[in-house]
Amino acid sequence: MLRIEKLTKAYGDKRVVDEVTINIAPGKICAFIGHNGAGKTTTIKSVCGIIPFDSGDIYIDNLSIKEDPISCKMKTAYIPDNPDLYEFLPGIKYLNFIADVYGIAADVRQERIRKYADLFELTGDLAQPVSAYSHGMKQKLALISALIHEPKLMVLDEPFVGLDPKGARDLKQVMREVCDRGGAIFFSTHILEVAEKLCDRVAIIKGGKLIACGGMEEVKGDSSLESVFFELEGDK
Amino acid sequence: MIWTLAKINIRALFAGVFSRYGSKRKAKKTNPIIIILIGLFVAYIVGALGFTVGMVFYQLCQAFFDAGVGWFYFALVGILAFALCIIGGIFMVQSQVFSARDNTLLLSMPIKPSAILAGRLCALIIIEYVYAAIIFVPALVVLLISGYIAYVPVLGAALFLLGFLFIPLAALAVGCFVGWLVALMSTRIRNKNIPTLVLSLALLGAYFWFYSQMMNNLNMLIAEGAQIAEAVRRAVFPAYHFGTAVADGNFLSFLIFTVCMVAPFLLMYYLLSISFVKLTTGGRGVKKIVYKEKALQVSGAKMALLKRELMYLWSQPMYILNAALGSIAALILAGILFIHPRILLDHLEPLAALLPDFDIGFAAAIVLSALTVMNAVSAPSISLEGKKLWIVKSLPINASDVLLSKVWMHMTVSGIPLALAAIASVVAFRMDGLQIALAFILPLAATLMIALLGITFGLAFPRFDWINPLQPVKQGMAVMLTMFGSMALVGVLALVFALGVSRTQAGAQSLGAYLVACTIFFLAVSAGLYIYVVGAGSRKFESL
Repeated sequence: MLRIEKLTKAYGDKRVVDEVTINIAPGKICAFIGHNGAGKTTTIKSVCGIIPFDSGDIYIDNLSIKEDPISCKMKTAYIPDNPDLYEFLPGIKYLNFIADVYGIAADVRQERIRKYADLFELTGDLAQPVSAYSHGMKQKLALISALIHEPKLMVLDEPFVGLDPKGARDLKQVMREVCDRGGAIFFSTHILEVAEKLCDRVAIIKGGKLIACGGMEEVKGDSSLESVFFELEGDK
Repeated sequence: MIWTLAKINIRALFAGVFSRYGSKRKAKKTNPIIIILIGLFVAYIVGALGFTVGMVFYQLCQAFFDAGVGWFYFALVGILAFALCIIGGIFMVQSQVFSARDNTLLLSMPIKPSAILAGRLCALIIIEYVYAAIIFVPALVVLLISGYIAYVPVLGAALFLLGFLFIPLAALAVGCFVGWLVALMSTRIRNKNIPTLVLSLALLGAYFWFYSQMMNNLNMLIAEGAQIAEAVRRAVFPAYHFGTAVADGNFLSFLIFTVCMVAPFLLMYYLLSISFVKLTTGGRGVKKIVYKEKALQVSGAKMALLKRELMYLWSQPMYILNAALGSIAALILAGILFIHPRILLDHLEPLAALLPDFDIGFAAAIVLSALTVMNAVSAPSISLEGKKLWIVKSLPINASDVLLSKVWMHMTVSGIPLALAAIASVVAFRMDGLQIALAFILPLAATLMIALLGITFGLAFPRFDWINPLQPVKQGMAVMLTMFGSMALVGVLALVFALGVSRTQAGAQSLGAYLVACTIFFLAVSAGLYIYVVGAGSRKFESL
C-alpha cells in the first residue's frame, strides 16, 4: 500500500531524511519511531505530498506521489501532530468542506459524519466554531475529517497526543477497521507500549537514517520494543 | 523583562514587512533590489503624506499667526495628532493587547501581567509616535519654511517637541479604553466580530464625513480662526494649554497639558493591569450552540475552496475594512446613485463646468477603476493560510486551484459591488454603448489584474508565523506592493493621458479609445500574471 524508496530530503546542507526505504502492505499498521528531530515528520509530510523531496520516490497503492500527487492524495488521509484547523468554521462546515473536496455524495457524507462523530462523542459540538474546541476535540474533528473519504492509507503524526482514554481506544479500533478493509496505517509515536501492542511493523529512524525496519516480532525479538529502541539509538 | 517583551512585540510588528519565511527554512536575506524598492516606497509615502499635511498647515500657519492666535496653530497640531493616533492605533490595541495569540503562553510564565501589558504598550506606543510624526513633522517644517518660527520662543520650541512625546500616551489611553470595551463585549457575544465591525464602520463613516467636509472645514478655519480658537480655548483646554505653552513658552500651561496627557495613560495602565488576566482569558459566558442534523450543502472542490475563502474573509471584519475598502466605497456609491443621484450630480456640475471635455460616462468608468485599486483582498490570502497551510497541501487539489480560488474571492468581493455601482451609473447617467461597456469592463479588467498581482506578490512575500491575522493584512509587504503598485500604475496611465494623449490632435476626444487601450493593457497584464500563477507560481506554492 505504501512504498517509500530511498527517500532523501535536505534543508540546506543537512540531510534530514537520508535514503529511507519503508514498505507497508495492505492490512498492516506500521509505527514510525525516533527521537525528536530524527526526521519522522519530514518523512510523513513527504508521504502526504505536503513537502517536496530531493530524491527517491513514494508509491501509494502503486501510484507515484511525484507523478500523480492528486490520485495519491485521494487515497490518503493525513493528521498532523498539532491539528491546526479552520477556526472560523463550525465543525460541521469543516467536515463538509473536506467532503466537498473529496467529492463525497451527500447521503454518504451525512452517514459517515454521523457514524464517526457519534463514535468520538463530538456530535453535540459540531455546530460550535472550531475556535471553541479543546485540543482533544480538534484532534477528534481532524480524525473524522480523515475518515470521511474512507482512505486506503492513513498517515498520522502523533495521533494519540491530546486524546482522552476513550478517544485513544476508539482510534485504535478505527485503525484496525481501516486495515480490515484492506487499508494501511503509517503513524509516528513516542508511546512505545502502544506501538508494540498495536502494530504489525515498526520503523526506527535516527538522524534521518533508518536504523531498523521490519515486522514487530522480527525487530524486537524477545525483548521489549523500548529496550530495542534504546539499544539501537545508543542510549542507556 | 518589560524591554525584552517589548522587543519581541516590536519585532513581530515589523517582521511582517521585511522577513520572508517558508516552512522549515531559514529566513531568507532580503534582496537588495527589494530593499531599494521598499526605501523608495517609504519615501513616496512619507513625501506624499508630508506634502499633503504640510500644504494644509501652510495655509493655517499664515492665517492664525496673522490673526494673532498663533497658539491655535499648535493646539490644532496637537488635536490632529491626537485624533490620528486614536484612529490609527485603536484596532491595534484590540489585536495586540487583548486578542494576541501568545497571551496564554506569557501568562503561564513567571511574568507579572502588568509587565506583559507594558511590553505590549511599548510596541504600540512606537506605532503611535509614527502617526503623531505624520502631523508634527510637516507642522514643524512649515513653521521653519514660513519663518513664523521666529515668533516662537526657544522654550516653546522645546515644549513642542516634548508635546510630541506626550500626546500619543493619551491617545493610547483612549484606544485601550475602547479596546477594553470591545473585549468586554466580545466575551459576552457569540459572534465576536460584531463589536469590532460596528466600531470599524462607525469610524469609517466618521472618516468619510470628515474627508468630504475637509475643504469646507479648512476654509472655515482660515476665515474664522479667531472665533474657533476662542471656542477651543473654552472647550478643549488641554489643546489650549499645549498651544499657549508652545506659542508663549508658558511652562505652567505645559505642566497642565502634561498632566492631562499622562494621567489618563497611567490610570488606564493601572486598570488594565489588574484586569488583564480576566480580559485575555475570558469568553466562557457564551451559550453553546447544539448541533441539529440537517441536509448538508454539496459543492464541487473549486466552489468549496471559494466558499472557504469567502467565509474566512467574512469572519474577519478588519480584513474587509483594510483590504476591501474599495468595495465598501463602491456599495456606498451604488446606494447613492440608486437612491439619490442628484447629490452626486450637484458635486459633478462644477467639475463639468471647469473641464469642457468632461464626460460623465467615461468618468464613471475611471472612478470605478480607481475604487478597485483600493482593494487588495487576494494579496494577504496566502500568508493568512498560516499554520493551516497543511490542510490544502494534503488535500487532493491542485495548487493552481487553491491560488485561483483566492483570485475568484477577490473578483467576487470586488466585482459584485463594482458591477452594482456600474449598473447604478448606467441608470443615473445618460451613457452610450461604449461608455456602458467601459463602465463594466474597465473596472473588472483592473480588478482581475489586481487580484492576480496580489497572488503574485503573496507568493513572493509569504509569511506564516504571524501572531495575529491582522499582521499579514495591515503590515504585509504583499498588500503594500499590490495596493500602491496598482495605484502607481493607474497614476502613470492617467499621466500618460493628461500629458501625452490629450495634447495630441484628437485631444480629449480620444478618451474613450484610450480607456479601451487601458482595458486591453489590464487584460494583457492579467494574462501574463495568470500564466505565472498557474505555472511557476503554483510550483512555488507547493514548495512553501
